[in-house]
Amino acid sequence: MNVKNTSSQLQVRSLSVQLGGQAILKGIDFSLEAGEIGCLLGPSGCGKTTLLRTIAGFEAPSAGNIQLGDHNVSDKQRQVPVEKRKVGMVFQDFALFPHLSVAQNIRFGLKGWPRQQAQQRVDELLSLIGLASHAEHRPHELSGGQQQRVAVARALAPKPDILLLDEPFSSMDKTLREQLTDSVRQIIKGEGVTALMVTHDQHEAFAMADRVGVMKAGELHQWDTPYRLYHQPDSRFVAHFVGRGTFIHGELNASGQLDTAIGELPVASLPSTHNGVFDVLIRPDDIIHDDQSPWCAKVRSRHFQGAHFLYTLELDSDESVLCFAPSHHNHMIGECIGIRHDAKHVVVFSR
Amino acid sequence: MKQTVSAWSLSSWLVATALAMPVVALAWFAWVPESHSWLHLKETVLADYISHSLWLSVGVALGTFLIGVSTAWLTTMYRFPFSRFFQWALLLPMAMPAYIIAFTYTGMLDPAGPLQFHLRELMGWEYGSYWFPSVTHVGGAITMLSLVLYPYVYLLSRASFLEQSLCVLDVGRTLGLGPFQRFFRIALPLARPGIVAGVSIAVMETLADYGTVKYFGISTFTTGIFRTWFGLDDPAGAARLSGLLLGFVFIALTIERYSRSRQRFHHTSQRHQALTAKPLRGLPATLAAIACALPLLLGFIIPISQLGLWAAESWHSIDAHFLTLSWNSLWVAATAAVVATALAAILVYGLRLHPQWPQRLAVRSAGLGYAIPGTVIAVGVMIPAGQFDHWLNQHWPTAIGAAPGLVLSGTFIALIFAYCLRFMAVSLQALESGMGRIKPNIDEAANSLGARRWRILQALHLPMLRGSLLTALLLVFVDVLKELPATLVMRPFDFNTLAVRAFELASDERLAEAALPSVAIVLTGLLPVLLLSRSIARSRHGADGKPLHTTQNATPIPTELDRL
Amino acid sequence: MRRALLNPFLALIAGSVLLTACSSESDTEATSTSENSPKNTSPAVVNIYSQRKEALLKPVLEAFTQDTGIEVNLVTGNADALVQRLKSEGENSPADVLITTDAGRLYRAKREGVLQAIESETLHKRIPAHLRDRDNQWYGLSKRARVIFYNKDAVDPSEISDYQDLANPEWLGRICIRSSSNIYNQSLLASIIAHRGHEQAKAWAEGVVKNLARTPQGGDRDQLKAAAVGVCDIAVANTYYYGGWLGSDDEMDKQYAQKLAVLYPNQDDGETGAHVNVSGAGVTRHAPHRDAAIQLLEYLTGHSAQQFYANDNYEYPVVEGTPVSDLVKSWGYPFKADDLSLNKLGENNAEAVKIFDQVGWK
Repeated sequence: MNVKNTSSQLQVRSLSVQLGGQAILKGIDFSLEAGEIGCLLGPSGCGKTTLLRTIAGFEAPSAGNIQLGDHNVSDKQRQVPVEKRKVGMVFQDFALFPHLSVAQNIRFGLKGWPRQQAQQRVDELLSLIGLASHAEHRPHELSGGQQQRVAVARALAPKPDILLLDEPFSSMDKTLREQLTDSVRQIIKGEGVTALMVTHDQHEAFAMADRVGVMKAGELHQWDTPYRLYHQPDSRFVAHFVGRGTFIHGELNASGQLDTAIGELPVASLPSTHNGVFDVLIRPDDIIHDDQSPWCAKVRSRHFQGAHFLYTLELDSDESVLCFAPSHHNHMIGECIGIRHDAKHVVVFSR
Repeated sequence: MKQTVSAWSLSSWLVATALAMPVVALAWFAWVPESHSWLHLKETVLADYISHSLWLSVGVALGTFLIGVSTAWLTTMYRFPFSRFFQWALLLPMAMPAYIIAFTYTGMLDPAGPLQFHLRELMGWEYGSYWFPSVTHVGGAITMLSLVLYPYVYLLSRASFLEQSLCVLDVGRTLGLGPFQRFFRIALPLARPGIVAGVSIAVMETLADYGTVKYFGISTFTTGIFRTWFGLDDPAGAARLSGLLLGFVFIALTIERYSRSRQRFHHTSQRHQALTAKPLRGLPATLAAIACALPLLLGFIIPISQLGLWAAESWHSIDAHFLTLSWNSLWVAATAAVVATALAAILVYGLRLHPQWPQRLAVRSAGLGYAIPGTVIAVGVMIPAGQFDHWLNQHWPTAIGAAPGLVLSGTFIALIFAYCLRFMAVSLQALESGMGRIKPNIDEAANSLGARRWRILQALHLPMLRGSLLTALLLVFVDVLKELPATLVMRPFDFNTLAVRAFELASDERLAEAALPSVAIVLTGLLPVLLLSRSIARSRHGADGKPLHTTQNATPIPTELDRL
Repeated sequence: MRRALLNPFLALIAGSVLLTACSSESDTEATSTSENSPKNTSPAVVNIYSQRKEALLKPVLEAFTQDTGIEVNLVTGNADALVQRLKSEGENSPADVLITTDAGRLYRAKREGVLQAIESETLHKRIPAHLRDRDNQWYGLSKRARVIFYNKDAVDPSEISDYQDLANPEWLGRICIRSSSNIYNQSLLASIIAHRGHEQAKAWAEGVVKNLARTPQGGDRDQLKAAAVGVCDIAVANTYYYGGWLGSDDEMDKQYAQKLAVLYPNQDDGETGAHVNVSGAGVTRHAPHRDAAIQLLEYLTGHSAQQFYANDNYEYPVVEGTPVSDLVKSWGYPFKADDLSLNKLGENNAEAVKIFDQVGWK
């Protein structure tokens, strides 16, 4: 057992996992501070669930180590079995024990606790999840959202070192999902537990997480705050996967700015090696619809989204950009509308 | 954790090896010497054995399918006079051993039987001047076996129908399908795995049947095995026939496996809305009631009445001895049921922990005994048991005392073990499907909450499997109660059961006297069957008008029961 | 509530495992105490494996215990399987006596080496040589004759006299006989093979199959009923079934029995006589209670046992001079019985089955 060398609650170092001879995870590195909620985001098949299951101890890594609180739970020498890791896990389909009542489900992990303390803990969690009146119900008598909260409470009951959630909202409809992300976040924060969640939905990730990791094909592309993921993506993939946006052509000019089809743009930082030609990431919020602007772009398609329209605009250069416009700005496809950019500093990738 | 795992896999291996031993012994015993009559068999009767067994299998498959599925559909989807009653009563023929229904109908319909006798007296007819149904032919055997085996299909297809969501059928409606089309194009294909499982059980029972075909003089694999072994004095030839028979069984099992593996795909966690039965009126209601009444009447009420009539003649023979017989039957069946279920649980749990091919093979081969005739099983068990006893006595250290004599042969250990081997398929199937419905992430959830193997087993798996365990217990109990050939040969001295008594009397052509123990078998077998049907009735939430919450995972416990 | 149900259930499993363990223990205990270990020849008990049904044996055995004080333990079952059981139990077998209901099985038991030779003056004196093993390993205890029954309304007794006649074309579609899986049919054909050779036996079987009124089904009594009702005119069956029928107090059965008459075949001078088989017994190779076993065999050839066979089961005694009941006499006793050595029945059994297969006798 190694002595704790950072303040991190979860530390994953150079973690690789192979399943059936196939490399599922390649050299994953990240850490999560105590009390933080982390989120692994990525398209299906990117390995995010495997990463979660490896941290839980259901899969054994082929290389690297995992540190949970003070303990090294997985390295070359030893694998702490799941039941000794002190991880709480919430499954995609909740995996509630159908033959046990809500209270019994929550109590399941409290074996060895003194009776009274266990009861107190169960009551505490029941009221935390707002199901005190349903203590004796069986899982199948609950709604999906209620089952979800029971699953969270059950995982939290033994005060785990970390709470792991595997796509916990994937089976809900959108409104329920939004409500639940909120209430689950509150429950987690209320318990002050460190949590790591897996999802393929960035809204969920942004709503829940303090830190988000974007994964693709077994690699962790970026581990950062939601803000930085959006505004300063490290890779084209992250830029593309997180938030909306398009790439346009840009060339570095003498004044250190970028010449593009929508004018001269300030650039935050440049890659260390480059040839002066770049792909420039333009977010929809970088473009402002302005009838007065001399820059004009043709409407190629439009999505009415209630409060605003999302327009896809075609530039003279045949490139396209996205633009939000208030919903009373109702333009037809093919119409030319005025735009200007509002980019403080754009993100670029070498060509 | 490592230690418990290896203890489990060790014990599951032990069980599997013990169960495989008799089959190996048979194979060795019979394949090593050359079969001297194989050519003769091939030239003369082999084609008969194959075609008769095939016809019987196909016929019983068809018969049980028609009866089982139609009654299951009617009682699940519609309300008509007595439909609640039929829901459980349709299971009753399960308590009727095939050989007993066979001799009952033969005795009843025999040209010399009371029915035809009085008919002739009354009408002044001569034999041959009128037509009368008879059962002693292949078609009759198919009918007899179908009448007592259809409950398996009924049980499983009804469970499948109950599991189907109303939504799926509603989709059919919106697509313009009428009730028949909805049945044939949606419900039937969806219930296919359950139906196939039921039919394959019926077919295996058919292939293992000896009493009925022997009585009707139909040459099949089972009668052929006996004839070749003992009549032609050629154990090797008999073993080859057994091998062929097992081939048939293996095919049946593979089909069943295949459809079960697809079943997982069928019942993913969709929102479930229970079916509500539709009331029928007028002619359709009458027709539905008749369709359900016929199999019940023919498979249970008529034969049990006839047996009752015969039994009334020999009522006086009830004595203390008869009570001993009943008690023997009861406890040996109960013990065998518990042991078989426990062994099956070990095997199935071993498979869950280590789903690799050796475990899978062990479970598969352990289930093969279901289609092997009891006498063959008995001989297969006696050979290794005798070898063991011989070895034990040879190596018994004289310091301890006198050699122990026979520890296995001719004791209840060997007999119970033979029952287990014979009916392992039943308990295995019940537990496997029950275990299959406990998703692996239930284990993982418990694991992450700090629970280890043993706690997961006793706090989660056993209670969740309660229904399946009960089903396994009841089915094996009924089967052992009816079992005959292995009991005959392997029982200890002076140990008689109801089945032994019924058979001895019936095979001595003393039907009236055989009726009393037969009725006792049926009545004893009725109890577990009723338990079984009661639990099925309970599982039918929607039918009672109780609203069923839409759930996304975990089916409530009682439905575990209606699955084999 | 669910929990409450669960615990007894678990207890049941645990309990039953213990139960089996215990019951098996007490079993072996019981076996060893009641016999004072299998190797020890105690005269107080004799263990029987029997093909003969319990009901047809119990009265004699009870009398035996009463007369001698020797306890009798019994397992009944399929003879072939019992021979297998003897074989697999080997020298540890608790069984002392094997009883079968036909000579073929005894022959096979001898060949499988599960019997031993018995020297008994009494047995030799009482049982004719052709009804016992030439090496003294088994002894016939009662005779059973396989004869022809005819419907008195349809057949004139002058039309038929021998087994050979059954193959004549005039009986086309008029004969009932059971399946060839039955040992008595196999023995009958085995005896014909012994007397007339393979070819004639096969021709005979072929002829009989052609003459069958229906595919073979049911037991001997079913054949008799069929003949009585008119399904066929002639039935081949063992006599004791008929006896049981005549003795029945059922009105219908009696009426049927009266429709039939018995014909002992092959009675003329120079003919072989009616085919007989025996029920018999031998002492097992490793009999722990050899003396008691011999005593039992001798008892079974004694006067009262022989009379029981004849009077209660309508068989024929093997011991000359044993009186038979009037009922048995009423359908013809004594008759001329085939004195072919019963060993032949065993020797020719497989050949007989092959012939049956070849001629399509189901």
